[in-house]
Amino acid sequence: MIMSVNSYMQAPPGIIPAYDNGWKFEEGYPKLTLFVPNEIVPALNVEVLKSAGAEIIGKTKDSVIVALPVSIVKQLISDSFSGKTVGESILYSVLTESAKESLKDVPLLKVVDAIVANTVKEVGVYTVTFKSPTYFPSILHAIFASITVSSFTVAGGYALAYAKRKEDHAKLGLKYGIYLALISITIQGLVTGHEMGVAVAEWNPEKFAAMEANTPTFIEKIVAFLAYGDSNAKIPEYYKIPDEFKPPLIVHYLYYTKIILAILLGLAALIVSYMLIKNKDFPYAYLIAFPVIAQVISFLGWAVREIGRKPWTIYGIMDVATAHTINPPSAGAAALIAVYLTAILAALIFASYKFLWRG
Amino acid sequence: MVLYFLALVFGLHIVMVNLGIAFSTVIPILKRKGEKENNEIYLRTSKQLMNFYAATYGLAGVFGTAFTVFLLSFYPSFIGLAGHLTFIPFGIAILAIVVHFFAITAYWYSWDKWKSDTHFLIGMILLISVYLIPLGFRAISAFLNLPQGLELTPKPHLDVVAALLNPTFLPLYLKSVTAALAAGFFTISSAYMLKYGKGDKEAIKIVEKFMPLATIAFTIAIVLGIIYAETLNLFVNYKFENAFGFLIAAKAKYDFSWLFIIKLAMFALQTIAIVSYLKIRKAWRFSKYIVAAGPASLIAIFAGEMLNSFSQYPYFVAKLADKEFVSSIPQPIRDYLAERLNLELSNPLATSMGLYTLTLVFLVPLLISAVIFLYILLFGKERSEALD
Repeated sequence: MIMSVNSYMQAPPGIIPAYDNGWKFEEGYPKLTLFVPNEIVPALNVEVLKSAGAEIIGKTKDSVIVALPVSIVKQLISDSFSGKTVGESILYSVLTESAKESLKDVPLLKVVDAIVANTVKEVGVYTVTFKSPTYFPSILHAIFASITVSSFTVAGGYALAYAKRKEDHAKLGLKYGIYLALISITIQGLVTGHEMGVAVAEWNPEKFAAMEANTPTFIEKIVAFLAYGDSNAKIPEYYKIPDEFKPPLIVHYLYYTKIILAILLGLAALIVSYMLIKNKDFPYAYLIAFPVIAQVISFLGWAVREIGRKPWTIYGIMDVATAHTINPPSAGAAALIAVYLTAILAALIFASYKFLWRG
Repeated sequence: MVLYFLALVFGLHIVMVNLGIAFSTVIPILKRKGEKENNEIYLRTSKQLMNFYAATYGLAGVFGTAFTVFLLSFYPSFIGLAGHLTFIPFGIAILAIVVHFFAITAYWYSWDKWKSDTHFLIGMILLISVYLIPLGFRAISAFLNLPQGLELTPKPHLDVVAALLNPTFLPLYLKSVTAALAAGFFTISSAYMLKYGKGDKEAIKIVEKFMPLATIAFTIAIVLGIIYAETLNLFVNYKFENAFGFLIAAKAKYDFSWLFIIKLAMFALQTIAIVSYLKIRKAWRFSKYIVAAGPASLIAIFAGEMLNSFSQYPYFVAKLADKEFVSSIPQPIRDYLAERLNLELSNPLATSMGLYTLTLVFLVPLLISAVIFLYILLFGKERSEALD
């Protein structure tokens, strides 16, 4: 369920991406599909809406389905949350003359709430987040990530215990952990990670462009094949994304650090598995680094997912500036909290280490 | 329906965390005392209490999380506003929870494994952190009584120092932690009196130890409760009148004094237990009144928390019932706050019968499994393994 909410934030149902063999920002994409309630429709000046890039794509019994450029959606949400009235917002310019008079002093949030709530009802109150197009690959990727990290943790812990005491049960725990880790990281790399990448390429092309921003040409061909099934397909160009939609470039470096570390960890698991099968000796105590490396890879994966969504908090709906607290802590306070949490993490690791060491 | 859901999970959460406050205080001190005096009974009891606390802390967390999710689902605008304003008190509570959680795991796992002094040091972290958690949360509760520290210019924010000087904060905080200690001491006395009644002769030593502490904490909690009620009378009269209603002949808009009557009835049971203790303290024997005092104290905590929350209905901030106060807030922020702080304006998407049913479908098994879990922990076959 939590992954469904997170997937909704990555790509809400009804999002229409801005990439199709080339960027479509100039045509008003990305666009978000909204179900405008019938009660609100007469207040809207359809011609002005269309000139702003909106498309009317259908009707239901209670609503008119509109694909609205996300730059407009973002502005409406931002204005709503800052307490503006309809008269003070961009919505005012797309109203009919009579609606302008009657709605100008109405809080914009009421109108936006009505449209968003109606959209959720039409898509499905119970299912809206599960209908995110990135949900299925996301949940698979997250589940296998947790199995991978857990099994490397089991392997690391038992490896330390085995190095210390050479007991059979510790070796059995190490074997169980490392074999599972090897299987899991392989599936993660070849299946779930691949599916996640394909989904990102299709539904979050800006993030995909950031991930591959400075990728060498020969690797780009492999990436194009993996993402689109065609090595000649064009990877979306990061540097052509308008600033208002551009994710930070650091995503590229985080992503490739993750990939390289994951490959190395997978190879290490393969080597250790071989040594265990052949019953050969090995400095097993060093494998306590496995849980740490696995956690770092997981952390980097989440960093790519979350930072790569910038400048959006909910892709196509709400930007970070709107979601951000109006009273952020000072840099000093934030640093202090970071030190506090790091100290507790260090204490927890130390306590776990002592506990494992003492048995 | 919305408020019943909130009340149920919040009440259960509060009962569990109140026990947590008492247990986190008792466990490290009792263990240390047991070590110093070479008292096996104290050592065994502290271990039994720690086993129970470590096993049930997650349960308190589950209901606390459920409460947060319910609040977010039913009142997203309130959460949005509260996030902007009460970030620091929330932060204090959250940071304390993090360190408390660490202390629970470290204290439990390192029992009899690490040096006594190191273990005691972790026990002190357990003890101190448990008092920091309600410090943050009760600062928010006090803010919801009276929004002292709320600054509207240049943008809405909280003056934390002014918020901590809220006249309802200190009485509420002290009353809460003292009542938690009283409830915990009564509960321990109750459980060990029950064990004594079932043939564990040594269990009476624990009752002997904790009943005086329960008496003292109970007395102080009542005094602090009266002081807290008086601060409400002075500063948030609407809430005071709703809480005590016809009992004080007040013109309450929503009379929740029936909750106070339940609380009084539970107080009466605890008082009877104290009288019983005073009678038998020189020649100890089984007392059903002391057994009843534990559950009574927990019901009193539940009823008291409901009373404190419901008596400000329909306002998230009780002071908004004061028309003079409301008119002192400039527009348009006045309307903005009034809409977000109205308990009657819940999220229309979260208030359909279908969603209520779905919530119940998930909540009922959770409650049943929690009850079964507690039963097994206290009375099941695993008891000997878990407690010894």
